[in-house]
Amino acid sequence: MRSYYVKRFFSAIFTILIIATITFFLMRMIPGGPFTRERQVPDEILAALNARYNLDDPLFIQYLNYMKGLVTFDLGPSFRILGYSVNDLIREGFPTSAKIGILATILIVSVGIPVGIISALKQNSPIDYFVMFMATLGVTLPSFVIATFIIYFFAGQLGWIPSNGLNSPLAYIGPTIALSGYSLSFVARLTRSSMLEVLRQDYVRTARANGISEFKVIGKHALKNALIPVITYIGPMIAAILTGSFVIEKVFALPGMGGYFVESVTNRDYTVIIGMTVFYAAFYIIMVFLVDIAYSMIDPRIKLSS
Amino acid sequence: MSESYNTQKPLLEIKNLKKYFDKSRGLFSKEKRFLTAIDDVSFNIYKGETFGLVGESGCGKSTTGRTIVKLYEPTAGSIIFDGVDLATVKEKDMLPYRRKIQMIFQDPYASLNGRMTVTDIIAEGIDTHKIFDDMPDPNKAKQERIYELLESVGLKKEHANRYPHEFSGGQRQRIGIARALAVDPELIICDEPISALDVSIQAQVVNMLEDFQKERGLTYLFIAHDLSMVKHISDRIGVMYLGKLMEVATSDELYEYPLHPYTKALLSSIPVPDPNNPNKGSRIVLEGDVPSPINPKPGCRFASRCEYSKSVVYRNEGSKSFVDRLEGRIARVTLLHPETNELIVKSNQVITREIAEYIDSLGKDEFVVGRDRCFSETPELIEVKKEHFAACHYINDLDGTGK
Amino acid sequence: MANKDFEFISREEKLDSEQTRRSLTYWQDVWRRLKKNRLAMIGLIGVIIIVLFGILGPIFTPYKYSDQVLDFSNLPPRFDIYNIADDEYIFLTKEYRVLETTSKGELISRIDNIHKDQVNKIYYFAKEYEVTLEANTVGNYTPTETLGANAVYSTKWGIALEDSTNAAGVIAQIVYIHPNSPFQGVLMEGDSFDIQSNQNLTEIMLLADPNSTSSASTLIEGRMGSQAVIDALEANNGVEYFVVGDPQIEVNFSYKLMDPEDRPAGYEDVLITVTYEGKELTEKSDTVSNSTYLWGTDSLGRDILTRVMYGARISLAVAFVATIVNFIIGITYGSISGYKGGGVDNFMMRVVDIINSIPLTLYVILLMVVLRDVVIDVTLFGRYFVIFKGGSGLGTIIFALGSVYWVGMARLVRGQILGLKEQEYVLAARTIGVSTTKIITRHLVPNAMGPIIVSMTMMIPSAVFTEAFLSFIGLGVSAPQASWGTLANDALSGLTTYPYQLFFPAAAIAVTMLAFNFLGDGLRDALDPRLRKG
Repeated sequence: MRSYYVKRFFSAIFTILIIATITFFLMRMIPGGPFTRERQVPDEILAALNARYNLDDPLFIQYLNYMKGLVTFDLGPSFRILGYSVNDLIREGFPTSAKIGILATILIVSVGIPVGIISALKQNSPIDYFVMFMATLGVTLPSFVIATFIIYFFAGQLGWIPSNGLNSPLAYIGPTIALSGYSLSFVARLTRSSMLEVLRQDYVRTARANGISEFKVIGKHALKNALIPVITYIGPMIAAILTGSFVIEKVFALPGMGGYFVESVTNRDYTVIIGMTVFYAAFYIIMVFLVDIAYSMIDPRIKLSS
Repeated sequence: MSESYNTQKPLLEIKNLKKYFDKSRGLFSKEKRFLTAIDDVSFNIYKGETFGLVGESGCGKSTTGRTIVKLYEPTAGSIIFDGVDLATVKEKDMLPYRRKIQMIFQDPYASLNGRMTVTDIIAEGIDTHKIFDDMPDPNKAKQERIYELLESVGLKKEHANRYPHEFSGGQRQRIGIARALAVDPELIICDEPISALDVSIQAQVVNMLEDFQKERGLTYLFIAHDLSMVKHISDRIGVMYLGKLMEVATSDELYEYPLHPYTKALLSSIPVPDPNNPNKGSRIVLEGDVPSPINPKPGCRFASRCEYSKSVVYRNEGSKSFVDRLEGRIARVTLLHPETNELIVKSNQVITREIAEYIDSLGKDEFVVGRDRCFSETPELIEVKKEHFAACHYINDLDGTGK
Repeated sequence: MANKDFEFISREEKLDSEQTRRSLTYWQDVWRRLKKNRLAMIGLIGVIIIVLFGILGPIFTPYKYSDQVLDFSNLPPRFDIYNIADDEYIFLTKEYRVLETTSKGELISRIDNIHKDQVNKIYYFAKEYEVTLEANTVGNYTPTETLGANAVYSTKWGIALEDSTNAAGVIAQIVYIHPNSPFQGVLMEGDSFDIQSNQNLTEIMLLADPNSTSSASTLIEGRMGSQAVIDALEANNGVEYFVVGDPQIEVNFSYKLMDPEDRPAGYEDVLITVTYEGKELTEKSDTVSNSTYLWGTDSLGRDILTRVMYGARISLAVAFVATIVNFIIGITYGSISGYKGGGVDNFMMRVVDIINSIPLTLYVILLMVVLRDVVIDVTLFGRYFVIFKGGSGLGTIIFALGSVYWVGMARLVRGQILGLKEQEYVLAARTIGVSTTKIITRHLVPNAMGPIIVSMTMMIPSAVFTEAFLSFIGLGVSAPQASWGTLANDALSGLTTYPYQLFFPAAAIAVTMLAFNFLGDGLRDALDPRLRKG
């Protein structure tokens, strides 16, 4: 069992390193690239870059410096914003993004799964149709459509929530809903179809025939198996929230990491772009790894087979 | 076929053929696990005859057929066809040989590509081997040949442009046969060709195959598990069990005078549709489990289920103690604790010192164990009577009485 | 029943008893099943409509996607009009502009704002007389009389203006018209109109006169604003506008800020009043649909309907081509990996796994960031070659999408092929000796097409979404070209004021994605082999 973990851990590290390398070399392809002289870069920033990256060194040395920096979690100075390092931006923005991300995850799990279960139990009822309709909308409408709809309607017309910033608790509502829209709908649909599949199985009929209360049948027997495909969705869900944050933070003007990332893309702030990309990639890989470990501890099938 | 087999040169010689599948687990496991699908099999097939290959599911007969046409690469051994050892021929050089050996498959619903018309299916072989390429009008010749083949298997010209899903199982099988015949092969491997068909259709197909054999001088390797059908169509039969041949003989000889215990058990299981059958009640039921084909232990494969692989160890015989003589032997009965019904030793399990002492403590006077060589030496296929081979250590003295 | 009650059938009849039904190929069967699925058919129709919309729409629209009419910027698809006179209707925009329209909602022209009363929130607009001049009538009209020092005279048009203050305010008066002036007969000496005290006569005249000797003319050259306006007007082939006095339109917005209690009696519900030729209108006459720009205009006066149509072209083109690229790469990679098996398969799948281990969108963003600025060039033998030029065109987006998302298709195809390659018809083909390529192309891929096609149908909306996403964060096609994502992005800043600007591209994206999703779901059901008979 331990060898499985160890293997996965090294595999994760390896992938992160490869991503970092690819990113580094991609960035170098830009003419007047991030690490060479460019007219529009103020001298102070150039000096900071030079001190950090030794821009005149051959490519290989620059690569080593970059890698060394990664290992020590130092991602370098911002290319455009004087006095800020990439770490600073991440440090400032990540908490905000994390807050919204966690809220969204909680929403997805606490609403998506029960809704899916209820829908499955009451298949073909008006509730089911309504849920499926909303879920289909949620999956097909892009997040910025949902976000702008929320702003226009609930903030603009009704004034129930503020349209940007995070100054009040109410302000969290809009971004959370918009960010979770896609995944919530997906989880609801997945739970529903998985539940329907499980409820058809013989062991459920047996449990019912044995006189076990419906509540127990669903709670103890059906649910555990029905949720397995849902758990496998967690990885992609994290990805969806991660990339969704770019759009949501831009639309709602939130001071999160996603917003900084998008800005840096627009401003061609290359060191920030590289640094944040590597950070996002590493974050994602580690999250998936943790989820895998947690999952393998629960699922007996994996335990036995290794 | 009444020719003397020994003088004729065989069309196909299988010598010491082995096919092992690597079922090792994981990247770092020390122990390699091999599934011995075919484990040192040798037999010959002569031109014009039908050689039947029978056995229960998983015995390796289908694998044998497929290895002969090199759908699997043999692990060891020779496949000598018309003087050439196909086992040494590389895949890219196999094309000319592929024309001579064809195969008919078991599942009529899976053996035809549903997206191709009947014409395309039959024409594929013709195209691949460029059979009519040097004719003045190759397409016409090809089309005519296809019609000819369709009619010879009992279908019509109109069927040529239809799709497989529009045909019944029996018809599909016939299309498969037409496909095999299209390239004019010498040897056809029939891999359970009638197992999936209705009984009434089975007879039709078998008759058709026999007709073709007579007309075109074909040779068949007929793989099946239905013994009564195999007897009808085969000249000689080989009986396989767990990757090894147990017995080979002409079909009449095999059915009337089976030598190997396994063959006997198989034959006794054929249902006889006669309410007044004098042999009723004499069915041999095989007890015990089929051993695993993965990393098999030495010894006769059939020993664990064989009636005749038993011998008795008596307490009061022999020079060594009862316990000494029991230790290391294979138990051939299952022993439960007289009061608790706890399992002491299972049949086919090795008797450890502890178990031997326990048996001793029970006060038993005798205990049934495995016969000497059955569980330690693998028997070779030897010619016991003329043209009749069997693989058993005690073939001439099965029940130990010397008969 | 006795034997004689039965009649033996002949052998031929027995063999013929196999019934045959009408010959249906696999795909005909699939289509038959698909037709029964209502949602899928709706999706299919939707897809066809959208594709036609994108292909034919731009051909039939009178506008190009880049045509800008700044006067008509930010106009909604429906608006209120005021009937100020018999056949004259006006529309008040949110930006305090007044446009002349027809009763049916066609836009005619802009009516100029001549001054605003900031305190009382009253805006004054004056209608204009259009004077069409030949290009070469622009000449030097030397005045035949002596003009006062206060007069501003244009040698181009032969008119002199003077301003004076009276009890009502400041007015400008035509004090002289040259006998050959084109305005002879159109205007009269003595005509006057109100102006603000701080307005410059020459600005009001909106006429250019670089040759005038009057000192005021040098002020024109220095005033960049008016020159720009003048140039723009002149560019319109000699059509000039000359503002003359009454009648003018007075728009009073002051009531908007008052509480209903504070408003004068009878004006409790009134927010805007429009006064023309003495007549006051307190409510709108009608709400009409914009007949000139069916879906309104954006901040640069471009027709949104046209831009959404072109956007359809771009978004769909990107989606289709990227999907095809993914299809080709994915099938090739997946079928080789699946068919070869063993070590080759292991390695190829490891590569796929590594690529797949981070969100693919990150790759695409990264690629786009790089590609938009990249130029790969090389100097060979003294000659300079550009191997690759980036930028934000369709090509780069398709390249970025195509180089990343093929992994999904490869995985799928490999899985299919792994399953199919042990099928007996594949074994039969191998036994016959069919070459590997032919086996893959004739036997394996066609039988795997079901899930492949479903996957492709689902890739398209995914690509549309990703392209919109990229454009939204600023990595899409460059202006003035517009994909739906860019349109949405542009509309974002004015969301609460001009919601329609976002609504139409968003609706287009939503409808497209819904249609493809329905179609894809239906295809998946129709292709399900479990449902397939025999």
